[in-house]
Amino acid sequence: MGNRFERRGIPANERERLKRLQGYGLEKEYELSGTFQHVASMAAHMFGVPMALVSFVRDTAVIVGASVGLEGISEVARDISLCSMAILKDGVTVFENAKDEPCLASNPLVHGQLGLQFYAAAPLRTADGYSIGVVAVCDQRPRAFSEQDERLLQGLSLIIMDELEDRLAP
Amino acid sequence: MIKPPHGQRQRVGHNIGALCNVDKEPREFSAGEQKILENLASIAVEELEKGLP
Repeated sequence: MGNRFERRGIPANERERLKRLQGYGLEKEYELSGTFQHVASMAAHMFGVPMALVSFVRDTAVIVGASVGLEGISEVARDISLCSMAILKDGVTVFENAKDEPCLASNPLVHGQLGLQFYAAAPLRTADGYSIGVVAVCDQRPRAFSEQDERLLQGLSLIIMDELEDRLAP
Repeated sequence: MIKPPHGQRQRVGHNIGALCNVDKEPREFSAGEQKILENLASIAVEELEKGLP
């Protein structure tokens, strides 16, 4: 598999999950419509962080559909992506201080040049329960993230899912 | 200070409605908060434009 998370980092429903993601027909237009960019921008302002993104977790890469503060990054290898970890959880994933996280001890996004310290992500979940990506906010400084913040971030994930469902409608 | 509400602009530039926050108490509204409101208005316009031919 060539995946450094091995099977640990792959959701049990991976095959069906990828099918759902493909079903939204994003392949040709990962440069997504305004709504995705507006949500990323709104997330950065709501939480007062320099970076925010909407991403989709494909089989070997995480595609950045829209972002703020991450110019020039269009995809991240799945085996180092924090977003690919975040889809393993049904709820919001929060690393208030990623440098202190044992599970991220060798992660180059945390300990390399980008130096991510704060990361929070809400999964983009289909109605039938498959997480195809996340809406995430991050910072190079540690930050607290309350339950209220988590609910707000989940609200943003619902706007993205509504947009994607609209595309599926005949 | 009274500012006009954030207008929802179509591509040709007509303001067709507004997205408003209201309170019975006075409050401050920062530049960052205004940006959030603009983003929300833009999402509403995207939604409306889907209905255009």
